[in-house]
Amino acid sequence: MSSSTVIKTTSLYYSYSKGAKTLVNINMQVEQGSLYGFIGPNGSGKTTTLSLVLGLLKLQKGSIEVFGQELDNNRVNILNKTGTLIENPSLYGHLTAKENLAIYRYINGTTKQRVNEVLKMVGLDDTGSKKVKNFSLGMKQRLAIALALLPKPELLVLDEPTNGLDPNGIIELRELIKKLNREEGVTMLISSHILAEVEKMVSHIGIIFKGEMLFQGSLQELYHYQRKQSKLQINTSDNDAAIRILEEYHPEKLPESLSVSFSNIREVADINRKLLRNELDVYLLQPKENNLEQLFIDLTSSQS
Amino acid sequence: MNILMSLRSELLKNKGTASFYLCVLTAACIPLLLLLEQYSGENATKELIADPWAHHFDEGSKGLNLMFLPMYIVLICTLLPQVEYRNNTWKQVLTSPQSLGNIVIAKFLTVQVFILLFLIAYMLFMVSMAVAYNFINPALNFLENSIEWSQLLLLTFKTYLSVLAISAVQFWIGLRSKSFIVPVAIGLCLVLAAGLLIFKFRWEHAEIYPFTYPILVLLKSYKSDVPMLLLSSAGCAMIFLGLAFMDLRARNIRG
Repeated sequence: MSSSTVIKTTSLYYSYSKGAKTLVNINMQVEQGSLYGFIGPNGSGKTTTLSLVLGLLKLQKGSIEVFGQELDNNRVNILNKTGTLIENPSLYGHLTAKENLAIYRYINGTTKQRVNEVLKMVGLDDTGSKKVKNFSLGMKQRLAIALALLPKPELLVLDEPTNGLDPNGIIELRELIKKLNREEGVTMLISSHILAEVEKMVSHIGIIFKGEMLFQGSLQELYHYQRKQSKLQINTSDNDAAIRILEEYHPEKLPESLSVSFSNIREVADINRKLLRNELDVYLLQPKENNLEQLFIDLTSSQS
Repeated sequence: MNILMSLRSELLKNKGTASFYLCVLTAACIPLLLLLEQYSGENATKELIADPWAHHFDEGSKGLNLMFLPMYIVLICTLLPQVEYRNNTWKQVLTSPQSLGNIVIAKFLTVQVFILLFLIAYMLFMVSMAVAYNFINPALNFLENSIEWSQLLLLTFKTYLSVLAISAVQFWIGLRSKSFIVPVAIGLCLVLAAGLLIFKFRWEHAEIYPFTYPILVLLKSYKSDVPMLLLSSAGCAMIFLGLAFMDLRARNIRG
C-alpha cells in the first residue's frame, strides 16, 4: 500500500443473505488529499461499502486498510482521525445543537471553542436553545456535518451529504467541502447517486453499480473515457457508401443515418473531408458529446 | 479516563429525558403511599410511634425491594438504550472513537447512576415527608428521634447490590430491543414471577432466580444467606454484562 493511500479495500465481497451478492470484488483506493466521489444509483452498494470501511458491518471477504492500518485491529485509532455521516443525520432531538456536539466533544477530546467553530462553519451558531427536533431537515444535515468535522478529521466519510439540502445549502456545502479539502488537506470520501452533484467538486471518482465497481480513477481519466465515448451522427446522400468510406471509424448504421465514435473534434473535419472527396452530399454532421451524466447512465445501463 | 468521558457523554444524552422524571416520581411514590395508607391517625401503629425512623424505613424497604425498585430498573433499562433507537444514533455512536467495550460499560454505568440517584431521591423523600407529616400528626414522634444513618446506609447498600443482577439482565434485554414494549413486558413478567415464586409457591430454591434477590435480602429466613445472595447478584451482573457485550459485538448491522 502506498504511503499516500488513505483507504484501500482489496477484493471486498459482501452479501446480506445467501445468494444475494451486495458487493463483488470492490477494490477502492482513496489517495491522501483527494476528494473522492463514490457514485452509484440507490441500492448499488455505496452505503454497504462505507459501512464496511467504518467497521459498522463485519468483514466477510477481502481486506480494508485505512491510514495504512488494518481496520479490524485499529478501529478506534482510525476513527479518531475520521469524521463520519452515514445515511440520515444521527442526532438527539431533545437536545440543542451545542449539546449534540458536546456529547462527542467529550469522546473526541476537543475543546468548547471547536464546538463554536464547527457550528459557525455550518451556519448554525445562532440556534441557541432551540431543540434539534424543531430543526428543518437541512439544518439537521448541516449539524450532522458539523459533528463529522468536530474532531478536525484527516478523513471525512460523508454518505449522501446533500440529502435534504436546498439548492443554496448544496452550493454552500460544496464550497465548504472544497475549502476543507484545499485549505486543511482533509481527504474526503463522498457518496452520492447524482453524478452532476459531485462532478463539480471531486478530484477522483468511483462508479459502483449492482455491487461492482465500473470505473475508478481521476476526474481527468473519466473525461478521457467520456471523450472516447463521443459519437458523431452523419446523414449523407448515400449512407451505405458512407459506411464503406468511414470503415476505419467502425460506423454503426442507424435507421436514417449512421454514427461513428470520435475522440477528438478535429476528426470531425477529417470525416467531413473524406465524405466530400467521395462526392457524397453531407446533410447532417452532428457531434454528440457524451456528458458525464449520460456516461454514467450508459455505464450503469449497459450493466443492467 | 476514556470510560469517564464515555459516561459523561451518556449522561448528557439523557438530559431532560423521561428517565429523570421517572427517577424522581417513582422515588416519591413509596413515602407518599406509606403516609396515605399507614400513618394516618388511627393507622399509626405502636411500633411506628415507639421507633418511628426504623419502622418507617423498614416499611419503605418492603415497597422498595418488592416492587418499586425492580419496576423502576425495568423501565430505566428500557428507556436509556431507547435514546439511541428513537433518534437513530447507533451508527454515529459506533463510528465514534471509543471501543465497543467502553460503549457497553458506559451505558451500564449510566443505568447504575440512575439507580443510585433513585435510591438517594428515595431516602430524601422518606426523610422529608416523614418530617412534614410529623407537623400534621405530632404523635408520630419523628422529630423526637434520630435517624440511624449507618443502619440506613447499610440497608440501602444491600438493596443496591441485590438488584445488580436484575439491572444487568434488563440492560441486556433493553440494549438489544428496538421496541419499548417488549423489554418492559418481559421485565414485568420476570419481576412478578419472583414474587409468585417466593410468596405463592414458596419455592425452596428461590435463591437461584436473580429477580428474587431484593426480596430475599429482607426475609428473616434468609438472613444468613444475605452475603451469598449479594455475591451471586454481583456475579450474575458480570455474566449478563458480558453477554450484552458479546451480543452487541455479534450483531452485524449495529443499530
